[in-house]
Amino acid sequence: MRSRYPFGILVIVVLTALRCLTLVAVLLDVRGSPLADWLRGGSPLPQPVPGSDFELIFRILLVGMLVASLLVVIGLLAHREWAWVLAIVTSGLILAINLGWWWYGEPRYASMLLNTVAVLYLNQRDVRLALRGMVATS
Amino acid sequence: MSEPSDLDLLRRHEPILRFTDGELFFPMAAGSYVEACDLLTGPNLREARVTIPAGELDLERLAAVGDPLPGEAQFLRFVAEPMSALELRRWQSRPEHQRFSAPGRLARVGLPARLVDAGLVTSLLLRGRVPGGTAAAASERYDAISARDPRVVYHGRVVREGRWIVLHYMFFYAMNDWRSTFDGANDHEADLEQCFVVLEALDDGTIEPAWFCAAAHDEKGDDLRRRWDDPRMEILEGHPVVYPGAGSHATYLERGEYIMLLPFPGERNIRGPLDLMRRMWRDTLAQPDPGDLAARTKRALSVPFVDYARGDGRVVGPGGDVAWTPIMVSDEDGWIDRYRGLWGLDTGDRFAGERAPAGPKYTRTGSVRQSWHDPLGFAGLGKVAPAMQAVPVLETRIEELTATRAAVVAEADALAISLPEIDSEMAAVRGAAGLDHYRTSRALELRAGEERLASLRTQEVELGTAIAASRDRLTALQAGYRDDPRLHLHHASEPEPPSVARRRAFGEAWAALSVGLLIAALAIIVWFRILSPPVAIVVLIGSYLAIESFFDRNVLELVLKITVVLAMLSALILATTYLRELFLAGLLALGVILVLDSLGEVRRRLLR
Repeated sequence: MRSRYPFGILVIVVLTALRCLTLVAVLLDVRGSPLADWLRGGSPLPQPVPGSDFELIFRILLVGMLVASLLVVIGLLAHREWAWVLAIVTSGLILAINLGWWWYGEPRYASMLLNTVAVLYLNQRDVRLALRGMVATS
Repeated sequence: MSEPSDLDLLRRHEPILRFTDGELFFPMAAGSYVEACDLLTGPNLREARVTIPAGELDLERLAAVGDPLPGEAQFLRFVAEPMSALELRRWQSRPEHQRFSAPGRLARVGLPARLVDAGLVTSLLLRGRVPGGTAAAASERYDAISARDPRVVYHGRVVREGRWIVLHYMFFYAMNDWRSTFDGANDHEADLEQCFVVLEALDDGTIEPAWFCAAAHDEKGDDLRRRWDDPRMEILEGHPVVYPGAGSHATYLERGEYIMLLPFPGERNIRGPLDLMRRMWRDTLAQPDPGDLAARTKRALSVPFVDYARGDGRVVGPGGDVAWTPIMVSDEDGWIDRYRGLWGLDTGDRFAGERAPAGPKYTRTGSVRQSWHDPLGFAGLGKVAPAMQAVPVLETRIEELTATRAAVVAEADALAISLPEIDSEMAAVRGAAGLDHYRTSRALELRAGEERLASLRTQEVELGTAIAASRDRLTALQAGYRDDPRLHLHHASEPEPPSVARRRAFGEAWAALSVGLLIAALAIIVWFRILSPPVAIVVLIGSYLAIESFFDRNVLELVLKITVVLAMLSALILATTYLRELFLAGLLALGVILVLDSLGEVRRRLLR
């Protein structure tokens, strides 16, 4: 039987779920295995240094991204147009942050890869048709 | 039945001109214009002196003025004193002044086109230009003339060439006020536009219209003409309908608004790579089709000068608001044949856009216009057979092709006999002593003959195909077939769809001011070292795009575009950083594909 979700949506859901895991790994400071290290490395933001000026800002940003990513997963599975919009905005924001890190010499390539692939799928004709009912030129 | 006179023919097909509401100048008699002009002579505008003042000049005196001294130019001047700023304001606010209304031209286009526009506006400061207030003063003078002489005039002549009869219509305007009245590219005193109706003399002695030719800005050759049965041409009882551009008076055949496109020099070279990118983006990555990228690039750089050919104003011609008064002209008219100067102010503009044109017969350099001495060639008709002649012309061509093919076959057959003879001789002398030089020359002869034979055989096939195709076409023509009437057009002007970029007043203001504001902001930011120049440019362009998308109500599309650009940048960084891994992964994938393919072959062989 043909899936009710286009392949692109499934890929985006998987990638966004993976992003959620990376954010949780950073927020809870999960350590002790190569997978945990990889997950933390895949987060758009690094582990906030405890007691630093930026800790609170980093934590708020991480929580915000986690909430947005969870909403994206739920919305995409429910075929909601707002989920597509939220996914685009979140991915754009994270890519901008990633490029900032890269510019300052601390690249976060795993996050960059996850979000680049997600954006290309979000912009695919099938996905746009399924979620927005339209294909615009880009 | 007596043969119609030239005037009868001109009147039978005189065009109907539908002007845009707000047009200030209409076709007038050249004589009325000249009588209101001064004649000036001099090396340039600043040093020019009045040779014959207005009131003393007429067409006869103009014909008799003779050529100026070497290094001097001769030109007419319609407006001796342009209006001052105050007079202009008064003139613009008079109650009868028709206000032309259109969405801001800059609101239609993006930043690159606005930058090109800014460059052109800046260039006007350095080039010679028609002074401000000239168009308004010219309009007053024209109104005074038309109050005395209300005729709307075309100058016409008839040129016969073989079976073609060319009806040449010339429209003389006192001024092109495209820039000052309609935000166009240029102004100049005097404006000469022309069009042609090309008739074909049939075997039964009757005459039928076959083509209509008219020029709009940079069109040339085949794009100038439309076949009489072109479905997109309007013809009312034998009279073609023309839509002159507002102020520019450029001749358009379809109602609409036309955006001027700059020639884009690298278009051909970038088309291939851009098409490849488009296919990869659309087909490989399954992304939305970006459309013709080369055309979009050209469009992005197009200068946003709009030629309004709305046809909602005064109609001149049969059935219109005012009828034509024709004036026949020819080489016999001294003012046409002997006066080679400009017909209005010579501003010395190097790009010529703000210089007045020369007369109907001559270009600004004094050479005879092709449209005058060879109107058929001007419209690309020199190579086209009249419809009635299409069959005999093709029959003659088939006979020529058949004769050429017969000659080719005969030469090839002769070579087919002689070459094996040379080859067998070569085999005989291969081991003979003392014949090295002879063998070399024979070998060269053999090679040249072989190449010639191959070329002749190819020609034979091509000629055979061409003859067969010509015979098919001949049969079709004899059965009454006619080609698509628009087949000959390459880059004909197409009207734009009505502008959708209607904005509120502040949106229009932003479109008009944006480039100036961006440049000023860049200067301030860099002056006070608020940001480094590259960052300032990125920030300013980002802000510009955000404001534009707000006015165009497509913020989401902007966010998507920015995100896609960020993704492409990230992909580029990843590809550069992991080039080795990417290459090895590609190699690995290729290996796997080849193994799978070979396995499939082995499997198929085993199953057989």
